[in-house]
Amino acid sequence: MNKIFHYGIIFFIIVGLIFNKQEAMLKALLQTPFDVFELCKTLILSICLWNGLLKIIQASNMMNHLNFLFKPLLRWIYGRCIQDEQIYQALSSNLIANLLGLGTLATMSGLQAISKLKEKNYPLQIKILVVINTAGFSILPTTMMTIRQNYHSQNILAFYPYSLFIGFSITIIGIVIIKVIEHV
Amino acid sequence: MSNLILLIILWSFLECAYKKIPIYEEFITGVKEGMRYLMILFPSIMLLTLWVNLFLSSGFISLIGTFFIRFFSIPLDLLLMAFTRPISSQTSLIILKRIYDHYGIDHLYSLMGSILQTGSDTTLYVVSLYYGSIHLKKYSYTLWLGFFLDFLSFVFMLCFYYLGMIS
Repeated sequence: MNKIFHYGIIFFIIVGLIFNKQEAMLKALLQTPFDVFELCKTLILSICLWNGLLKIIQASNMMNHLNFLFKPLLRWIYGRCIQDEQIYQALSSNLIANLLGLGTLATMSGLQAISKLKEKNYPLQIKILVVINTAGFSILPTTMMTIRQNYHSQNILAFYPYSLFIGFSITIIGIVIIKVIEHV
Repeated sequence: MSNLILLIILWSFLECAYKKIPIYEEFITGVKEGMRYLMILFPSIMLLTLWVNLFLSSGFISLIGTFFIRFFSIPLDLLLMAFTRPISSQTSLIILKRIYDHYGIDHLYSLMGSILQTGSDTTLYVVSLYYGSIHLKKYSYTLWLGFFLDFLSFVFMLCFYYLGMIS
């Protein structure tokens, strides 16, 4: 990844110089800290809030009532690592948050899960977790619904069946590819 | 949706009250733990944003867009969206809004843009954030697999379009 960042930046600067984009690139460079501030402000403060609430949800053991629903599914995806209670809690929260389209909660629980998986040494499950989150399958894409509503769409949910199919398919394909590569 | 989330929170608060779990301490501990992520995530977010900003401003994206457009009978903006979606969600959203303004929200191309935006997540951001949080620099094949899945979601959308399944 170092190489992608390193050579990518060299390549983009050269391309920018060739296409005479110096002004735009310098502007983008100077804009970076402000973009980072905006991103961190939203991300970290939301993470703090959701982590606080997540602690309460986990302490209440509420998730255990939904075990019958998520345990078989998570066992198929992640294997035996879900026998660890902390890992199971984080992975199930991540799955629920992704499905409900709660981006920050998904990030928060995903970060918790990945640190636990690293601690307990589950490299395969780390890859599966990351790929599932890059696919970002959601049954409630609230952001898109809000945008289409703001544009006064006649059919707000017209995109929904297609994105549901695509999101579901690429998630399954991603999991299967990893399992095939790792011969699980 | 709002009801569901509020009900989950209410349910867990009630269960904590029943089990006499100290909610205040749990919440404060959670917030403090959340703050720790600032120091862990900040450096990788800074580098990622710099990379993305230079990538988008270099003109490279328009170059590959204009090169590939000859192979597809779709607007250039949709193709640019497909390229930017795995890298920057904000940028692809700006392009999507441009498509909405140009064609109208209920046009076929606007619908295709909406599908593209929701079909997958920002791969580069997710991969560098997750691996950055555990200080792992080697992403193995996950980044490329993520990009492949984004490509696949674009292919699915094109198939729907060429097969006349989107109207």
